[in-house]
Amino acid sequence: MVTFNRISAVEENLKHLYLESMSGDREKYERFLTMLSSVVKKYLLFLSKNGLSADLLDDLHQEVLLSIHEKKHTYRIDKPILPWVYAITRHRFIDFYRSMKRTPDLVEFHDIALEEELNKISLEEILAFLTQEQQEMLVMVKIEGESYEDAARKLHSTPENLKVKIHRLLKSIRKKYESL
Amino acid sequence: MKVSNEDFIKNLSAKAEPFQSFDSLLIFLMKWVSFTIVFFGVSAYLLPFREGFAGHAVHPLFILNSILWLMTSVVGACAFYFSLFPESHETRYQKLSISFFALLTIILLPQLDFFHLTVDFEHELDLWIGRCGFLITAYAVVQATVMTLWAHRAAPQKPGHVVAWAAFSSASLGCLLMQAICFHDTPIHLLTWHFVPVVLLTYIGQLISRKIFHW
Repeated sequence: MVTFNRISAVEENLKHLYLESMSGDREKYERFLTMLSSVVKKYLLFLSKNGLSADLLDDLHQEVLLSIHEKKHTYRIDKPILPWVYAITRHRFIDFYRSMKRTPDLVEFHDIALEEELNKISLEEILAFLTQEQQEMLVMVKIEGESYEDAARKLHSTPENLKVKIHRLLKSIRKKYESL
Repeated sequence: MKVSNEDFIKNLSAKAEPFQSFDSLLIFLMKWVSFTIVFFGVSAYLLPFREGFAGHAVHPLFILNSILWLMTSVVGACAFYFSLFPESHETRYQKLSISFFALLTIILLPQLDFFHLTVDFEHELDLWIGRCGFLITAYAVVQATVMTLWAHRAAPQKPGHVVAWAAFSSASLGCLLMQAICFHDTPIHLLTWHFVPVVLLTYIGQLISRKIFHW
């Protein structure tokens, strides 16, 4: 799991490059877009659970970069930059699925936003707060990557019930983390 | 022909030009307040105040309603501001603004004469009596249009919210203005020609906003 320090470094560098590129300097803007490109690609792979072909990934990735280019003035410089990047990427990702007449699981997207915040602390710290049942749920679905259906079967629950429980669990973990 | 990511980035970089972020909330509010004072002032100057306004203005209920309309509008303007950004999850201003509006409604509803509601409502359907509703609409359209033009480059997470909040905030200011101008004080009149326009304009604003701010 990505630690807080690594997320922090990406956040700081990207923000610094954004601020430098506000002057209109082409070289600085290119450096910003290059770093942004790798962040966006990783996030698209995460959103799609590695389900996109290389061509589709490239197309979507370029659409996201274009949207960020067109809407770069909507970033508020007193706020973290990664949530803004992720929000635009999610917006384009959802648009892409709508255009292909497929609806992404919206509970998943809401969980993703919470998970980004949780990436700030280590797995061990998260699990220390949980009951055995909660640990099993989280590890099976979010770490080992089991489907909700398989995990629900093992945990004697239903996929819908499991989704809601995990969503609530992630929220409570964030609240606990904020109180530390 | 498919463009490689490196070339795509180079093409975008070639279009680099100086840019500025959106104004901060404080700067936006300063601009909004300045425009509101001028527009509100001009409107109040052009429209005649109700008879006996000075005596009416010290009534506690008048003061309470005025404060609530003002708060609905100011907090609604903040909700409008935060609706402009793709990552914004600020809902407290939305909830607060709606709460102030709900409070106004809660204060008004018990005053309705439910036994004669139908008759009173039929009486209110006279468009001349309801001209204040049109004034509120005209005021809201102008102010909301200015706000929408200011926000035209936004990337809202929920496109329908931008003009909706602009309309809600502006119509509430219109109702505040009508406190001084409209001499019809009956609860059924206020409900029909003050409250309903706020709700309708917000709904229409939401429909328009989805078209304008789709990105």
